[in-house]
Amino acid sequence: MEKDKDILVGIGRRSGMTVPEGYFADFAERMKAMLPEQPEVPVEAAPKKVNVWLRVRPYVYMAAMFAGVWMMMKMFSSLSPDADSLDSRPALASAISKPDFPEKYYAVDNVDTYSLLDEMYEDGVAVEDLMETEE
Amino acid sequence: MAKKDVDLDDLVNRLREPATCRKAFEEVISLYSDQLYWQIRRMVNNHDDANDLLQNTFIKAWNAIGNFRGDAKLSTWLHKIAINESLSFIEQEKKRLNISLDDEESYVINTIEADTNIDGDELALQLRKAVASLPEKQRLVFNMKYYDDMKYEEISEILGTSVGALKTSYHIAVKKIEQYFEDLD
Repeated sequence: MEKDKDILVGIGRRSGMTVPEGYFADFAERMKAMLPEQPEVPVEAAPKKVNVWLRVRPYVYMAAMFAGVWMMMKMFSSLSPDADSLDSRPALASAISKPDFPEKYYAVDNVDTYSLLDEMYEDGVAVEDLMETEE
Repeated sequence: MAKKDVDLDDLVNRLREPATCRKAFEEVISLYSDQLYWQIRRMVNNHDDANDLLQNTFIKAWNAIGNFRGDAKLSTWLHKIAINESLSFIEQEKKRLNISLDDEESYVINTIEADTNIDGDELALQLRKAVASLPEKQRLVFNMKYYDDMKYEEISEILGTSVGALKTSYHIAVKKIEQYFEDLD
């Protein structure tokens, strides 16, 4: 280790690097000639005047964005067919329109057929037609 | 022009005056070219690159002369610009040549071996290679302390690192270099 320390001491401050002959004298002259006459100060942009519109602009943009999203959702929901509408379910519509639908699809065991027909008659349903169909 | 013969306070005052600024800056070029060149050369290990970077350093310093208030020493201010220029250049080169962290040491050693402006001193060349094996910060500290014989206080101002940390960094750097030479045997 002592030998290695001696190496550092022995080398001293020699780096082993050289420069071309007369480099520093030439460099100083070249550099002086190269130097711009005046320092080129970067031009700073004038600070923008902040008015009311600039201040509220982000909020207006954000409100417009939310309004746009809301309107879009509204539009899509109005365009889509009503899920509960019978028009969108032709099979169900046809089943309901059949006169035997109540008997077939509803539990009518404990309901007297005739009382049901009476009720329907009172409600204005053409019960006669139903009777004919049943027969 | 020897630095000891120059009244640095007067030079700084003349740099602040628009009428005398340019002439004073030309004196700065003559005074600090040598010192800054070696600072840069030891970092980039190539004369042509060091020459370009030295020019850039003085151009930058000239354009920023209005910002130099004389709070820091003139040499410290110039060294800072030179080091920043050199580090930026090294980073750009690493990106340009696509050099990974693992390849960094071999890249620096290749640059040293390709350097034609050398005096053929084998030991000095080995020391350059040993220094190249150090991490960037330790390399900077070692160069400034060992080759330029700068005071820790001055290095601290340039690098913005505490004196204690610099002493530790230098001590570790010396140990690694000693180890490098030990491994060579």
